[in-house]
Amino acid sequence: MIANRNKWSPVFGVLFSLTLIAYLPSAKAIDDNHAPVASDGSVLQGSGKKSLAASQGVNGYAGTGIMTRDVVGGSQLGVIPTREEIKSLQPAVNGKETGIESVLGADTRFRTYGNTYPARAVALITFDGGFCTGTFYGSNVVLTAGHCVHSGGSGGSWKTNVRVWPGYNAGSAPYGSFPARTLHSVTGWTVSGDERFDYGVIKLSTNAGNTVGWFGHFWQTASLTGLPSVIAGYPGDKSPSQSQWMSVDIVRDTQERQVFYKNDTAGGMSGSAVWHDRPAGSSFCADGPCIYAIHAYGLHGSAPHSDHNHGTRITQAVSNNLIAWRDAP
Amino acid sequence: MISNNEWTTFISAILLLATSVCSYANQDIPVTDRGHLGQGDKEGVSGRITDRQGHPVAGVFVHPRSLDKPAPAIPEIAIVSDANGHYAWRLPPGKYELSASAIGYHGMVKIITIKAGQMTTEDFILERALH
Repeated sequence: MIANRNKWSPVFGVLFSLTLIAYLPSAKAIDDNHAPVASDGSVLQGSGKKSLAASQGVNGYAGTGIMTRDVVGGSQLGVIPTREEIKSLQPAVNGKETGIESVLGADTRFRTYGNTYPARAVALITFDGGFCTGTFYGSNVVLTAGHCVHSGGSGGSWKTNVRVWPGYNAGSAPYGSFPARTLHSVTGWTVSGDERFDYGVIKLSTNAGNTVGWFGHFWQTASLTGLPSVIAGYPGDKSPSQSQWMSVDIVRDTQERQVFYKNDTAGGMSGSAVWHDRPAGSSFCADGPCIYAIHAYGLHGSAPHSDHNHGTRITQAVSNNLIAWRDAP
Repeated sequence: MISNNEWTTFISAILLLATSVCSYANQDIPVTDRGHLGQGDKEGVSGRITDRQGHPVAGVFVHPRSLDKPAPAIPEIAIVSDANGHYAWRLPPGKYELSASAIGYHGMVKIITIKAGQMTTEDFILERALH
């Protein structure tokens, strides 16, 4: 039998080696994909890697609504559903499973007005050639899609002349606009152009979030399927142009790095937070809007991509990056 | 003593484990379904949008819809014409329905084909809507 064991030892060795060879580069690729990069080339310490301790959730803040000297100095100068009304909203019932582009069945979007929280923490993001949506998640930091700050892949480039307009409403900028100080994303997007790593952040020089407030965010390893999905942003197909609209549904499918839903969206909604209102008393991200994904794509490819709008899931690694970017000077 | 059957079961389990790990690892390698991304700015469509008098029309929402199946991933970004009427979309090769719409103008739709490594030029002349 000892002879038999010796006979099989090389086989075990080869299998073990093959397993390691197959797994290790991929594991490295995962960390590398979450490696943070910035438009100014600065290096961010302490983020992305799963080994770092991080809170499972961060609370939001309603903001003061008051334009402080800090906010006014950095700026160039309706009716929103209450949180109770948002909670009572019913998920969209789609008339059919496939619709025109990203409006799936009947259009269930409704207009919101950005002078109260949480709508005022949702911002129009403009840059040379177009616009997106972003959401404050700290006093001077705005969460958005990676493709709203960088065109993606090694041949891509950072967006230019990026500005953030909290609560913007069809020509009215109740809190003015704020130029981006730095743009941030991860190599999974800026090098690989991988849609699963399509998220980014805009850092501002001013603490506008203290006025307009910010959303909380959280991650969980358990499936998100069945959670309410609320998305607010600036769809380019709606009139008046650059007005804020909201859509409500539920999460229909959850993958390791992406979340799928049937909220109605359109070009311009990229970067919108996908969130739900967590109750008071929750152990993390309590009593307010809590982001668990960033909207990025309409229908394409094969299922579930071909029959659901979808976005980048906030995983622990994503959350670690968001917190590091938020806390960076 | 370990029987041949036990060895066979053990080897099968190792092979199954190795296959599972390899399969899981492969799912974590960045995918190539990157649409127009990572291909530089050499592929896509650009052009100028004017009115009948040749004046540039700013703020026109230009939206591509893929006519290919499966459709490539197109980020839900809003591309609008600038003050000079210029717009540009990075898009992968394929056939698209490209629409241009703006308040106060009749929208227009064109079918375009984007070839590998090429920027396609597509201009729009919009008619004012009469109210």
